[in-house]
Amino acid sequence: MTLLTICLLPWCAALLLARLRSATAAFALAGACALVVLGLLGQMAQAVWAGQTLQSSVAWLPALGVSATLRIDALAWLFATLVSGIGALVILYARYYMDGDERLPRFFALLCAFMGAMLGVVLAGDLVLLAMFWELTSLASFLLIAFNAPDRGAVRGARAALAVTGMGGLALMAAVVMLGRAAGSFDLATVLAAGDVVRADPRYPWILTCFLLAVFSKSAQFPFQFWLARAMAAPTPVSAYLHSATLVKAGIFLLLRFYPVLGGTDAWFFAVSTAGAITLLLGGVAAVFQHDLKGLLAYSTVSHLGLITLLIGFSTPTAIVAAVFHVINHATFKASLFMAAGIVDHECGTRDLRNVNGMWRYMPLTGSLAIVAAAAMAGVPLLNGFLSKEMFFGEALALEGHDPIALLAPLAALLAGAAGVAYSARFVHDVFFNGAPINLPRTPHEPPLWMAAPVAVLVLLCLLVGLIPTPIIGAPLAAAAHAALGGSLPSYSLALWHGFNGPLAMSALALVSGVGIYAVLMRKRALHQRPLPDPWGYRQFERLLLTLARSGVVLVRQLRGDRMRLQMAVLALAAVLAAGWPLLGGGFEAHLPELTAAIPQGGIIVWVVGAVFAIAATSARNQPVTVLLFLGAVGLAVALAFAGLSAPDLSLTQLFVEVATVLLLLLALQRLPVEAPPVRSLGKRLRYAAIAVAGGGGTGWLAWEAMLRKPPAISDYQLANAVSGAGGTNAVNVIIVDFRGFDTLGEITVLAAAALIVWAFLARERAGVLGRFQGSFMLPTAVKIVMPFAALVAVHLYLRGHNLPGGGFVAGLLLAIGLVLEALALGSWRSPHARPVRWLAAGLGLALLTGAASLALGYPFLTSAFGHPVLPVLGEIPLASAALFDLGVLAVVVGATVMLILAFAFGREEGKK
Amino acid sequence: MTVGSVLQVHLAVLPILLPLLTATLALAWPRASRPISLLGALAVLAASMALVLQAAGGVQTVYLLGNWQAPFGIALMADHVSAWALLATAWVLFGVLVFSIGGAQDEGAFFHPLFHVLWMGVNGAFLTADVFNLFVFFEVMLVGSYGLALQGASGGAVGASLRYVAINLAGSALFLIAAGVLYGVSGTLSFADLAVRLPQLPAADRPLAVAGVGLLSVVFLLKAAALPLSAWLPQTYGRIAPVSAAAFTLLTKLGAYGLLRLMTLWGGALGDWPLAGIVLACGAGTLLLAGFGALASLSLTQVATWSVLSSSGFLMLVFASASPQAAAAGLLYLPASAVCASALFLVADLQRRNCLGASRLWLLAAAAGVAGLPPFATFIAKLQALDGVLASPVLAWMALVILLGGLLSVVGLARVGLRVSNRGGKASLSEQLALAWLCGGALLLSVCAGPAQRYVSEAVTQMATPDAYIQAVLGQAPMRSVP
Amino acid sequence: MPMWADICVAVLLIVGALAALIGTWGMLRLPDFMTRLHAPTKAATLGAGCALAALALRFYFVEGGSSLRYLIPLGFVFVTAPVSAHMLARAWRARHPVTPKPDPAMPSASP
Repeated sequence: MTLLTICLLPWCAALLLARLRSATAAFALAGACALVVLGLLGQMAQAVWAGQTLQSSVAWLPALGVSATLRIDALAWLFATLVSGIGALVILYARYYMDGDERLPRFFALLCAFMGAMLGVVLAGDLVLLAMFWELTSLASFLLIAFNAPDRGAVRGARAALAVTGMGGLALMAAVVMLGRAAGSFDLATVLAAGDVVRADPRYPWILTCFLLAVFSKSAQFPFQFWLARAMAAPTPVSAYLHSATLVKAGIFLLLRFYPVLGGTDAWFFAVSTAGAITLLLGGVAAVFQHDLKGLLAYSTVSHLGLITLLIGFSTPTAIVAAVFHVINHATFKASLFMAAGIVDHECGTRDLRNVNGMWRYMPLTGSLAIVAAAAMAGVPLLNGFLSKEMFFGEALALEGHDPIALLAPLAALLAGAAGVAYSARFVHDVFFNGAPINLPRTPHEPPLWMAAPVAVLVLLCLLVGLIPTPIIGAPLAAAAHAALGGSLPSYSLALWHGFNGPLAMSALALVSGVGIYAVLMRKRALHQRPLPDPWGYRQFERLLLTLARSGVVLVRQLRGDRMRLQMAVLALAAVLAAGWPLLGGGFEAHLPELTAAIPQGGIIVWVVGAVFAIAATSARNQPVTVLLFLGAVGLAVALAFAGLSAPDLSLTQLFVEVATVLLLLLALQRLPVEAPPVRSLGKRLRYAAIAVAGGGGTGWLAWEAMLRKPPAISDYQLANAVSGAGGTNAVNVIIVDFRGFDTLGEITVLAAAALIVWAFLARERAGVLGRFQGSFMLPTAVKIVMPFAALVAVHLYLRGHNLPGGGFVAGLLLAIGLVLEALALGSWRSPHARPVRWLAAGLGLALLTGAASLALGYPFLTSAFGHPVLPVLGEIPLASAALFDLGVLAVVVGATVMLILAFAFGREEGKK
Repeated sequence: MTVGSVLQVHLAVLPILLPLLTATLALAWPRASRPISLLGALAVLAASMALVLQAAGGVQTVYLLGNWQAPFGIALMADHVSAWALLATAWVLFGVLVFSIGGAQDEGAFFHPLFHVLWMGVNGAFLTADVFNLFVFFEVMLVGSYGLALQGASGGAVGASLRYVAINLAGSALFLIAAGVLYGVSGTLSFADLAVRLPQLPAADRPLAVAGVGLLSVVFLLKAAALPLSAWLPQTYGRIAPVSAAAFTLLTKLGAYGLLRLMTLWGGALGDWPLAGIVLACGAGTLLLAGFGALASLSLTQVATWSVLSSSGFLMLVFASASPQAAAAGLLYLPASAVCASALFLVADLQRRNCLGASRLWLLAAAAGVAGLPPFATFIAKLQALDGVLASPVLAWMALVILLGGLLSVVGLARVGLRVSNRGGKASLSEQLALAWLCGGALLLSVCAGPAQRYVSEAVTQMATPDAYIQAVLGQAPMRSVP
Repeated sequence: MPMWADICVAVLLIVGALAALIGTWGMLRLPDFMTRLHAPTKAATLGAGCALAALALRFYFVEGGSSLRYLIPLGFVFVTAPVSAHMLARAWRARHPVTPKPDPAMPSASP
């Protein structure tokens, strides 16, 4: 329960803070949250230090074997205390650093969210939960760095941070998945106990690689060190909290946590040590040459993280203890140094070391605190940094085996030590001494007391740990190291004095040489003359990003979404391949036409006529009206073919649809350009021709082959049951309105919707464009004569549809064309009978009602019933409920056709409103 | 014969009928179209939820339309996957509808009828168990989408919409050809019956059947915007109104769903023709292309478009992989990614109208959901997919593709997200509610991940045994009398 | 079917087809729109009429009973063909208005 509170409290606080307006209230809430967490952790201290592991678990994803477990042991406790403790101090600091900024509540919300995420990483008892919170820390860090967006530095920093840590997060996901599989469970306790199994697994190298990618990206180790310097664009409280003490330590935490599982192998030793050593030296040297105050501190953080990584890479128990110790120490002095740097920046208005000089005069209190902290960073005796540096030097000297690393380690340690002293000296000297300040935007003075208080607290801690380490830090350190080792704790001593030995000599040498190097570099301010150094690796990163983005643009442009011809060609090609490959691939016998079979002569004539017109249509492609007429002729040929093949219903439908379509297209052609854009190059034309021939010919061949097969088909059943099951002798109509009535329902919906779209798109004007038809009285008179007959014929066709060729669709088309004629004759679409939308709604409603009627009776939708009632005058007539459905179809067809044609005839002109 | 029992018996067809009813009523009474539309949407949402609950009970509901036995009539099949997809559709479309009403973007002509026609088409496509019926519902869905794409369109948007119409008409023609070939060679149109008959065809006819199935898969690949048929998606979704694009995020999922059904039901009939391999390659290519596209994006709409493409590629990749764990992850990913992508489009709409000022939290939520960051269900789905894929060394390369594509998308999203300014007015309450509904859906799925994962695992097991499907559909007897 | 009816049917069909052919030929070859307009109307009425009459005759003799239904379309054609020709003429005239040329035989109005 306590664990759950610790984890959830910062998130609840973050959500509340996002809504607050007042800075004071936000500060109070955020501070209270941090303090409560700290208090809860303090409560658990005794139990945890004694070696207990507290756990609480909730089942979450049983299918994956994942449960939401929270687990705290001494190592997690240590990190959690760091997170919440430094968090509380940073909140206090930020209150004064960002005094007056109205975004303060949002800032605190993000800080609390980050705290929650970091606590989640530390307290996670399940690998998946760990990966989840890891990603959340990346996200929170991104948002905090981007806090000052759209400032360019903030944007670039945030981008770099997210790209690198995001990549790490993804690598961690892969590592977690593979690790879970290798260990047999995602539960952390199980995984930690399965060390030997994991190390023996064939996937171990992959797991290690992905794991180290995640760790190195988050902790800014080589080759990912560049993002930390860019991240200095964040507000200083963020740098003090995330980028010195907590976020970057997440990778270290992971290394320590999984040391029992993944560590101890040669691969671990070489990979981790090498990366750590390179980072240690790289960061140290880079820090000396920085001109940005925060940049110096950033690179020194990188260097110290490299130190800790190197220690973990050494893989000896004492080295692990030293690593844990340095984590604590580094967090304390680095956070205070960042805060001090923030104070200087806040007071002076600039962070440039070349301009900020002689601050000791203006802010002696801050200066003394900063000097003590910098001394701790350099490894001056009587401070905590000295103790952990000593342990580091001791480990480097004591390293055995693994030549040549063992030989180079002490040398590297010495160099790094010297560099550390050099940049610490630079920090102290160049900021607080070294003459008078140059061109400062503001006159500096001492900051408010409460702003310096957090720095003081941390510096005090540095001093206390440095002077009397065992009472202060002995117990938690031992417990945490024990937890990290997963085994027995080695013997070590935190005493200040071990006698005159190697490490002491190295420390002394490092101090002297570091100061010396700095003095040499600063002679005649030569250091200041050096041009601004480029953060190493960042340029390559930006170049990579730019290349990727450019290739993205090129790829996208290649897609050519605007070129319809190309898209159609690709589609046609895909279809040709999909169908052609199996057919030509073998095992398929093509059926050749058998010329001995009797083919009716009429059929041949119709086929030839149709083919001639089809080819003529392609050749007349620049005269749209001609093409249309030729296609009409092709349609006529098809209708005749249907009639010849004993499908009168289809023939009738084809004829009517032909008329309506030609009418529609003629009206639409007014608005279309006459010529299609020409294709110039011969190569392209040949290619398109080839694809077209393959597609069209292939389709023809497919149709031929498919029609030659005569398997037992569902149509046999439908033909057999049309009369007995559905009460109609016109099997086509029965199929349309009964067997597959649901398809028809869908199709009339499509028709209705299409008409609505065209109407809405074209018919913008409310008044009819043409007035009442002027002049001749012939057309209106003829229409008045013919219309009733047309309606009669339509009704006749509809009524007989179920048993003879006809049906709702054909009748609807006929009626529609008549209505259109009426509308044209009367000159506007306000013709009394043409209220198309009503027809549509009525038709759809009728179709739905007919289907729903069977629902009410307990049968599925669209079940039809039929009978032969005897009516007084007409005698016995076959009546089927599907006739009502057909009526709905009729209404929809009328409405849609009228809408379409009238929209094209009377719609607004292009370009006119 | 109470209303309740009628509803329960006919539950499977309600998600198709209710939107049609709503559209008809909205057409008949245009003044009252808003309340009609909202009520109808709620009803469809309720029906979809009820179907999921029914399916979770282990029932494969088969509904025979017209009371004709399959394969002679049309059957609907509401099993685990269909019901799940229905719920995802309902969730997304409900949110988009509330948003449109809230932002007064539904005042275009016939917006509500066309919206519900789209809904009807998508539901029908997910529920149907018949090839030609699938074609019909594809048409219904497409025509609804044409209408939405043309809402309030002018200039470039009109051209983009018309090109969208053109390419889909070609796709529909291809669908008809495929259906014709399949019918000609086997004599039936029902999925289940085809699954029975295709393997029984004489060897001489088998290549023809494979050709038909191949054509059908080309149609589905077009719908899912798989490489190399992806060109239409960016140019359409990037230029039409973002609200319409938000409603379209599910349409690509239809293609992936179709491919899944095809591969599971008719896999046996295909013999050694490597449909799964082709889908796998297309999916991987699409995923990477989408990553690069996201990196090259300059606006929220563009990045949202590429995220839709990325999710489509991911789905194809996991559905075609032979790992049931990954397929289950894909099913989990389907609703989560659709919801988050829609939310992102809606946020882009807010930005376009300069209403984003105070609501940048939604941008964060939508972007995080799309990118696969916790706590949204997309993260869990990606993790599960990795788990499934890394279990066998043959499939391990897919993990790299998934992670690389994910990284590119994240960086692209970050780049665009950083450019969004925080000036502007406030979004209306309904719009914020709609965004909360959508993002909350992804969160809810994450919290209830346990039951959800159980459901999708059952779904995958069900799909892996097509015999149950075939038995259920072909064995369903017509209703004899009033129950 | 009696011989004379057979011959009648054949003659009617041939006449109708010839009418259609001549009408089409005329439509292609006649020079001016107005003259061209005559051709399809003749083809429609005469051709359709003869074909329908042949049909009516044949079905009367083969199946017996009323074959009036085959003459109904003829009525429609007779009503609509002239109207459409009229509308075409009006449309063309609206596009190409003709000013009357002065007749050289008549005394001119101007001095």
